[in-house]
Amino acid sequence: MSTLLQVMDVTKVYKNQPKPGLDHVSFEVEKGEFLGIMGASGSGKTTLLNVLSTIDIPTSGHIVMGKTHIEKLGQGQAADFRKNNLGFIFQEYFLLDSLTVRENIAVPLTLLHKPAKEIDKKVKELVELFGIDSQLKKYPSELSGGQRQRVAAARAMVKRPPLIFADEPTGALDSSSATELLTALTEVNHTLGTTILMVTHDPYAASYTDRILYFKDGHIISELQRHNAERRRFYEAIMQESARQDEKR
Amino acid sequence: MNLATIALKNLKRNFSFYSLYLVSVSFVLMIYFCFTSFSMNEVIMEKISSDGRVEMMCSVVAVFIMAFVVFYMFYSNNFFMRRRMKELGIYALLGYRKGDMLRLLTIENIFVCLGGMFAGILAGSLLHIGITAGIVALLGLTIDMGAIPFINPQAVSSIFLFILAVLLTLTLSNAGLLLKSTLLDLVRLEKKVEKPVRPNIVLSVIGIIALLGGYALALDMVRGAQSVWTTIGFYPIALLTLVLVVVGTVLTIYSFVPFVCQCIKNRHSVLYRENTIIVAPKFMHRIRSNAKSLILLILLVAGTLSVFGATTLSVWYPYRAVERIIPSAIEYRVEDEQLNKQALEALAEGLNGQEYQVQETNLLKITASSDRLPDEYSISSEGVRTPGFECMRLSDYDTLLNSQGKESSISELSDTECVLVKYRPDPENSDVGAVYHLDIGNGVSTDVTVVQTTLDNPIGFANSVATLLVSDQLYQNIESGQPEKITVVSINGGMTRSDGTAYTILKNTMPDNIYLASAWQRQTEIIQLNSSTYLLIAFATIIFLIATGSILYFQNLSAVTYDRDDYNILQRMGYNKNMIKRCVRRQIQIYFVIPYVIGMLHSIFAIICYKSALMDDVLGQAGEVILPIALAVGIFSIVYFIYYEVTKYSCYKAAMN
Repeated sequence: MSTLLQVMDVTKVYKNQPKPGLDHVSFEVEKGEFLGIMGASGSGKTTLLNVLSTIDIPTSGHIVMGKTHIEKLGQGQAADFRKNNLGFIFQEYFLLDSLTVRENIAVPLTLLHKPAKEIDKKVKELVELFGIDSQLKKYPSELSGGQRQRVAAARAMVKRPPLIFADEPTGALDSSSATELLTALTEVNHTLGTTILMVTHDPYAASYTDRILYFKDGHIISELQRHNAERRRFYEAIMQESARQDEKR
Repeated sequence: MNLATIALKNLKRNFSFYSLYLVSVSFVLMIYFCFTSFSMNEVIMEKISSDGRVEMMCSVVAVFIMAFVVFYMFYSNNFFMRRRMKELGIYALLGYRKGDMLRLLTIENIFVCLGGMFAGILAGSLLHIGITAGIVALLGLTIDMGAIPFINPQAVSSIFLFILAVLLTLTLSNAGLLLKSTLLDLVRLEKKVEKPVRPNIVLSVIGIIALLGGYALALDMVRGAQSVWTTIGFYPIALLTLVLVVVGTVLTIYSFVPFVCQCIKNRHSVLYRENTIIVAPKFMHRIRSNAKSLILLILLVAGTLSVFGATTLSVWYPYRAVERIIPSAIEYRVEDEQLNKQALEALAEGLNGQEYQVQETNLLKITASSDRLPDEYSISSEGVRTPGFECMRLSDYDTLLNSQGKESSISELSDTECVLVKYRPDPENSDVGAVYHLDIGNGVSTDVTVVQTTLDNPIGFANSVATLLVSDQLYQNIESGQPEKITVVSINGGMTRSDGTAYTILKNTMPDNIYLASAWQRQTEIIQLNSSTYLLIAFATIIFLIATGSILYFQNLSAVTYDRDDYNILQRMGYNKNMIKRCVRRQIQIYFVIPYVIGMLHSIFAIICYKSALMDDVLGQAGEVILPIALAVGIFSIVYFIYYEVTKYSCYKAAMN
């Protein structure tokens, strides 16, 4: 596997904050990897996601994706970069209330100026993949939480971005909806080879990933590899690691 | 912390948001105070109103202004309430009772109303003094400006009582809203999801047909005596037209516009564009709640433009018509040769050295018979004129027209031909080809055929109607029969048209000559008689303009503020700032363009109807209507555009925050 994203010595300092949000963080993400980021509140997970996804700028360090130095992009270039390379899934779904399911999923492709026929075809593929093909004409307000999150996931995937950021995607879902979504994400990761970077504090959600980076006070404090283990075994390993970290508090 | 402190802190924190509300309330109250001061200004009323007409108009306009101020403040207050529902929900969660919240809102309203009132009184007083000075200068009145108080105490008590009434209305409205809202409503109302609109094709078609029907009826007025306005009756048709236009507008907005949106949504090749996919569904999604505002805006735009257009037309048209009614700068009929000589000598002395031309024209009054005698032949005003033609020599006609700075379009006439000067335009040329048997005295008659008609009358209608232009030879033949002769003196050139000196000299010399007419005097009279009316209409127009602009502003700002999260999502998805701005702009443009286009169409048809029904058309040039209407539309469009730019700027800020 080749490297998709390189994070080198990244630091993010906020004004009027005594401690940095990220403190000399370095790691790499392989193409097609499903990476989990775990940590307590305030550990730097969301800050990391923001700087990696060009929503925020790091104070120092380098973030390289392909040949692009993300930290050097201007506002317009950053918007183009997000448009072409990134997909997002958020805990709050962030669907556009006034657009139907079909329109919500079509927006990223519209932005890439794809022809209408191609957009319709791709939307159809994705809604079938996520099991929401009967909801195409509905508005987000007419859907359940799980269905909304699947729409959000379909929207993130539809343009086949090399990298998807998922910020607590199961945070607002019941357990069966969460399982459905995580299974769908794993399937997309395996079948389409999409790289996923998921921030979560839920060990169950994290057990679907290939590797987990643990954050504390802006640092990576440990790393857990799945090594093709069964999900249930990996879940136990995550629970043990969590217990070990609790003892160190 | 007590409620007053919270209210004050709230106003301070949201100053940029409230400042516009405060400024617009101050502006509205400035207009109210200026108007009240004006209508209570006894010094000026004494001078411009002798029959109580202006006072009556003042009371009518006052009702409009008061209704608007109440409506405007009610509207703005509801806008702010909607925006603050979540905040009120938090107060409720903290244990505030509804009574406490109502008091908090009332205290805030008192701050805003009092601030607006003080600013309004100051600015309104200044505006009132300015307007009074303008009227005094325009009408040349002699009044003591010092006798007019800067701040009229009566007007102050009036505005104070009015503000109390407005506050009471707002408090009752807020109380009603709070009473019927549960805690859940308060927390959730701000983001309540609307039921989508289902377009109805039948109602859309009915709406369009009703609108077209209303327009067709308005246009039918142009047909004059043959129109349904005359054959069926003015009032029933006026009522029918109004109902058709209003019903058409309502159905178009509720059904046709959503229908068009639905069509766009169904055509994916159109929908899948970076702006359309956001703007069209958003508009569609919200049209139910905004339909009422759109209808109100359309009617306001139509009302503003109609009133404004009709006013400019009413000022412009009579002013321009003076060119036909009194084509020379000054003219009069010679009733006494001696007096005429004295008058001209006095004029020469008074205008000492100034350049001007005097021309005497003789008109021969004769009767005629024909089966196609024109309407002008028997025009009579209170028995002053007897039926007949007034014949004029073609060479006199050419000379007189030249001295008025015009070119004659008639080259030559034979002894059996004549040209008829028309009073009103006759596009069908119904008189051309008519044969008149002119009675030239001693029982002899001669036949002439009308070869042409003209609207270029060289002599005013007070001195000659049914002027017949004949060849010099025929004129001589008629003259030999010794018919009644009318001598008209026309004075042109120099400053005689733009200045009143020459007219005043002649009027002093011939005070009893009822035929003495002056273009300057007529134009001054038009301004003097109508200035107060126009001023009051200007007040009403300004009020309409503010109403339209402010509703557009708050409507759009509220919509964009509501959508702020959506713009945030779009930015994350890769929409750059310019794309977001474009989306915001398109969204605003829909709300500005629909009322502008439909309102303008309504008003154009209304003005055509008004012109045909109530204005005496003597100019016969369609172009004369275009300029005043273009002026009204131009001024309105400039103000509308300024509102658009301000709204756009505020919405960009709201979306990007």
